[in-house]
Amino acid sequence: MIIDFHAHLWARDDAEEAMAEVAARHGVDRICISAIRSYVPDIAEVEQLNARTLRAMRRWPGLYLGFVYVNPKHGDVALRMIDEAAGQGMVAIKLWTSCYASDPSVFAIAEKAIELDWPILQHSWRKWTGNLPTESDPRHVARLAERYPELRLVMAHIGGDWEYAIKAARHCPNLCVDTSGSLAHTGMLEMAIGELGADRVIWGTDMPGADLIYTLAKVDRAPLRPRDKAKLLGGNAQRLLGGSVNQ
Amino acid sequence: MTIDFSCTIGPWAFRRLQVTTAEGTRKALRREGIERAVVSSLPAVLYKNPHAGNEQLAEELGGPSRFCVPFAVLNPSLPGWREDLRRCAQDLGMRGLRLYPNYQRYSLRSRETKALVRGAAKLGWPVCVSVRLEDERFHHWAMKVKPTPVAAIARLALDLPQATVVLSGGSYADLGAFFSAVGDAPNAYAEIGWVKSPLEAVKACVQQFGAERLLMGTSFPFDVPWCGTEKITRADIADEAKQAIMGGNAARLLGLGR
Repeated sequence: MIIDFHAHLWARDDAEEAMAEVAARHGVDRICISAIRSYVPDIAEVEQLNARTLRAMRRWPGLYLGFVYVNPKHGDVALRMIDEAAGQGMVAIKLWTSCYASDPSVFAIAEKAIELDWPILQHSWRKWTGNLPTESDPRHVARLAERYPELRLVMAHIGGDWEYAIKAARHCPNLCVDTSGSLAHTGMLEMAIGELGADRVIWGTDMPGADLIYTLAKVDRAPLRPRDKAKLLGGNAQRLLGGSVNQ
Repeated sequence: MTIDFSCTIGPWAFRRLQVTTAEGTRKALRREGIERAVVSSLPAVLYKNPHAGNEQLAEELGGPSRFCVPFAVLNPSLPGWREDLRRCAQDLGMRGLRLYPNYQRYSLRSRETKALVRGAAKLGWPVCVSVRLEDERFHHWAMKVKPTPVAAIARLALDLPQATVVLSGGSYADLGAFFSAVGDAPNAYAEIGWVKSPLEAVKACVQQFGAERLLMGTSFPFDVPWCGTEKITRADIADEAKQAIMGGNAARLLGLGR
């Protein structure tokens, strides 16, 4: 089973339809989605975004796996959104740029994820041009993983600067990375698998902002051992998401 | 014929590249079914004397190559580029020009740059102008280099219609700005190695810009070569468009037959 661990509903009004069509054409079985828009959203916006995710899940029940998007700064409201999402069939939490992954406001979210046995997908990009004010560096993500060793945490985009990020993450066995985004550098997958192990590297696209064929080829065509490739393309996501993938 | 229009050979100061030799490049690209590759010296981008990189590349190739089509890297703001251009053509067997105005800090609007591009055009050479080599977010902290302005590349193509100007390393948005500025100018091309978005990127390019002026590029050895080819061969576009982008257009520019 091929599972895209990192896609979004944003940038275009028809993202749901467009991604479903392209995924069917290229053999992608499941797409993990979260709806995002503002870097630091208010409560009303987050509610609207999660409602969009829910609509997509219901319209394409065999395809879309919903990740509830929250702003940890919303405190108890964010926790309530997660509980509601669990009741609606969502399967994981998406954190973006509302605050650093190591911010104390994230601790309650991490504890809720552990309670639900859900993974957290945390955006991270080490940008040498300068990060957004509260955009997580891979070291912020590693700090959260260190604090909660039982939390299953996924650092998006292999942290952007992947050599930096892999070294920041390698001592945290509960921290995985996803391959989503535009970078398809030579040596990137080899270092990720070599340093973290194939169990900690997960395929993702970042659709609709990224080309599906390009991001799929990054892993699908890479000269990896078949067993490792199967883990990256779906096995690891299945392990993290459990039975919800098969429903 | 499948032709890669965006390869470089040699080491890069800011990242250890897995392949830095001509033979390694040939093997890696042949595995992807690529039959010819436009190559230029990567260290020449940063050398104070870029022509030393051209000489280094020629030594690395060891004579005429069936696979590699060498392009010269020259900086028109430095003294002696006319003689370097002559040597690249007559002594080193180069067949095109690649410019890095952002790394080498010169203007595409300068008299000297236009003289160099005219010189390349007289030789029948395509002129690739690099927008970027690496994602700006990924640049080394000691050397952050802004993209070459796309508007200036478009202006160059419009001002010098006798030259074939190829925008290289441009994103989908860059291609949009470029083709919007040049209109249907037949001498303006874009290499699409850096087009990685939106969702169906190559299909969108063909719909927006047509297939006739697009060239396949892998950005090897920065990027793995298979993403650059797969995104075209598996795209939801006509076979004729795929053939044109994968090599037909490049063969025409380079004067290559089967």
